[in-house]
Amino acid sequence: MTINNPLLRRSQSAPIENPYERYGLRENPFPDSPTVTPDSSDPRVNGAIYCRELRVKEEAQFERLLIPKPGQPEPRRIGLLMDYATRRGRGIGKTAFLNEQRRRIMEDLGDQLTSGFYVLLAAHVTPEGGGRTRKFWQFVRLLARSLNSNRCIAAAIWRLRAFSGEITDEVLAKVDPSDLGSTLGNDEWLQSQHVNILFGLNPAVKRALLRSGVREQVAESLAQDGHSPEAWERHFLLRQSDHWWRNDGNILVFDDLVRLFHAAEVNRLLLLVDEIEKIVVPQNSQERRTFTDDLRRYFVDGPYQSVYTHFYSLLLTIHPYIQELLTPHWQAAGLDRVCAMSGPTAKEYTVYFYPLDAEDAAVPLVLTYLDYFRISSHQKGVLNPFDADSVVEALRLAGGIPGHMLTLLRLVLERAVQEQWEVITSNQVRAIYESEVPSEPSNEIDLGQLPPVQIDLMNEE
Amino acid sequence: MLSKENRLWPTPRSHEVALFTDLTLYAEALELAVTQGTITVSSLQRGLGQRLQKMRLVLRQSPRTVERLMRELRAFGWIEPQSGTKTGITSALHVITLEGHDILNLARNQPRIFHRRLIIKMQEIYVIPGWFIARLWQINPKGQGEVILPAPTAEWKPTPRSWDDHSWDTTLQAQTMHVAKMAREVSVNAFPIRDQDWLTTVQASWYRLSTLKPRQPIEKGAISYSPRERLALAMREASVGLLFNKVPYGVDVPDFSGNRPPIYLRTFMGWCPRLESLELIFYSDWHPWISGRLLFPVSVFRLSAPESRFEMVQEVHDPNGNLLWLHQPQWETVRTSFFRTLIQVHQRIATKTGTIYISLLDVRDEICRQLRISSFCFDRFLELTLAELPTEDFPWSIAVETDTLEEHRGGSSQLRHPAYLNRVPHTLIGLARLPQKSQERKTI
Repeated sequence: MTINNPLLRRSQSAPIENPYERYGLRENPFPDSPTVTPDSSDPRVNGAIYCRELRVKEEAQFERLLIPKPGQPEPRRIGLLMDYATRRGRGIGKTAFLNEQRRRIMEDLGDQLTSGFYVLLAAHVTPEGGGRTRKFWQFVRLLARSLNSNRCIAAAIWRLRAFSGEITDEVLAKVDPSDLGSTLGNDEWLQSQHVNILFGLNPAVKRALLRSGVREQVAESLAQDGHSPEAWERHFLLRQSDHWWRNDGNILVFDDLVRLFHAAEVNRLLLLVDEIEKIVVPQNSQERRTFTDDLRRYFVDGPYQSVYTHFYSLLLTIHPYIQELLTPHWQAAGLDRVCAMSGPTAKEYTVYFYPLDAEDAAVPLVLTYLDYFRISSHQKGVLNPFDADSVVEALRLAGGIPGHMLTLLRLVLERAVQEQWEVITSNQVRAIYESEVPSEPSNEIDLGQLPPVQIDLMNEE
Repeated sequence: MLSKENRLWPTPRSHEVALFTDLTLYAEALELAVTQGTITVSSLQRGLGQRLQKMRLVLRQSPRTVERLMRELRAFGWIEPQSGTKTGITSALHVITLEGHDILNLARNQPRIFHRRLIIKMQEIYVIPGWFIARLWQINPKGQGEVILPAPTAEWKPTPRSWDDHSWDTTLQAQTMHVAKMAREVSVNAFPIRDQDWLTTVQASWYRLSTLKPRQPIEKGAISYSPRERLALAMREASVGLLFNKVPYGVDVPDFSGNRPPIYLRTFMGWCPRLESLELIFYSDWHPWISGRLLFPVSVFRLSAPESRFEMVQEVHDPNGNLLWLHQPQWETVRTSFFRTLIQVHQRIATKTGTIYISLLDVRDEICRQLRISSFCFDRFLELTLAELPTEDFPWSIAVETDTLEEHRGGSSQLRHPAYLNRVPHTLIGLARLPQKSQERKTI
């Protein structure tokens, strides 16, 4: 009965022919999405494929401005990531860059970056569009959720568990250093190691939090569920009303959580805020002024633990238009003395993000993607089926924007498979670029000369 | 075109030009004079119907517009005060004259000839139509009279300033110089003003505008203004003052006797749409590659010209005796180049926007520029194109739509003249090449 019913059939796992095998690839290595989605399982869009050598200068400036190192000046409280290619469309790679910096820090909690001196955490914060983050209390709620979803809170709880004295050294020796969540964050595993969660570990964590000054209700919740981002979101964050966030959200983020991190011996937390235009553009003038005033209060000189201990470092991703909108309010709030947004000293606070140079960047970037999807390791480091000119041409056509180039190369490779090309040349890339127009519509004025007039009114005979 | 030894243009009989731009008002006023027997300012205001001005609905004409309309009709000799009544414009009862009857017949049955008669009348009274065309040719003879009056770029969005803050800062200076550079880049000779002259004149206009009182009462710090709008106005005032003064820019021989400038900024803004409606010039504030106003003549002063392409207005001539010729090519003459240009321009803009359906008005502006035709010619030729495409030699399918693009729905975009096809405003166009069946058939 069920076999013949098409509505109850199950999907078939038939062997799939790989059309990209002819080029030694497992699948099309280039992404079909213009954005980075860190939680995706697809390495092409979750930022796992990343070519570090393209952004060496930016990475060095990022470390200089925001990473604490012994013998170096104190890091900035607020820094800026200036995207100079927004007008050419999305896809310059700043989200991938921020995601990579977060990954580097969270991988060993800043061990390598600070030569083992400091414990760091980092969260990648992406504001919601449509004006849902225009008020500061909404931004605070976003920070709390991002600290949770980026596993910063869980990492602190895992450390507190490890430091609690309730887990023996023998059990701690079994903890996977590359993945604390599967052991210290896993109640079942801990119970299998004879750790008393209910009456030993969680009360000990709670006592540590209370000693540190975290409020009772928050300490209880963190001790119970903080080790699991999903559980803490479900049992605490989602249960709070807008009214609660307006009144208590700032105390949670700038006081309670800072005390939690201190109890877990974390020295600093980097908030890498992407797409600040989603906050600023929907705001009216008064909201911008209030927002910048609140930034100053909660990050620079307000009566909060975060300010007293200089705990959070904020990196805001902006572009020239946002700079124009924010500068008067930024200056009115006195933030230009903390982080100059314009003027000659701005470079002391800013990581500048420019389009890539096609000659230098195209080949290494494409190789990174191709190598990730090579069937045989012997073929790694080879551009096949592209020739070098074709990838340089692709990045040139894309205006130095890597996201646009990757979309274009995806289309080129699809066409190559369809039409069974042996080698992909720059002419073929150009032909597809002109026919497919993969980039976003541009509103910029074309500075090229106008075509000539076809008629001569004065001398026409 | 005008040598230093040229004679002067005659002094205009009137500088009091009406600033309305809808030329159908003349005919409608004469219709009312016929149907009502007599007309006054107030009866005319009540009688004139609502109309679409560009893309904006105008329910009623203002009393000032109607008064100016009456003055012009009287100056043209098309109406006169009824004998035995008062003669003042606002108080007199006016009746249509014999010449007015002739004109009304032309407006009803031969609108093209009606427009030509309007050119002659306006030239007689104001002198501006012919002089304006000659001045455009004089500004840029190599570029066939193509002139750009720069305006701030669309992406420059400065924040509002308080009314007291009228400082001229580096941002304003950079924007002023940037748009001048852009104008020269898109069309080499279309903006012939030297940088220093441009900068000082715009700056002077900025300061002059800054001394004006706000419309609202001043409460200190409460009133703000848009630096973008003020700079745009300063640029327009500077460019009109420099290029359309009594003495041409860079020349020391005036076009008129006396000290009065032939045109002011306010009248310039009224004359451009009038001269466009009369098919003497083309202008656009929205050309896709230009930040500012593009102006060029679609007519020329010559001794003779081929009649397959030009239409003569022999009553209008320049001080050197050259006659006015309107570029009105016959369809057979321009058909191939119109098809080819339409496809090229569509492709260029579509590549920029990434869509097949693009603004028909953007396409119109560039085609009119390349072929030096009026917007009315364009509408006529596009109707013929829609009837003909696809053809053997141009295997392209074409579609036009009346939908409006999101960015063209509000604000000043509504002031853009639409393309009329069968009397319906259209705003979008799509072109796609068909599979080349005809060629395949030929090879078979």
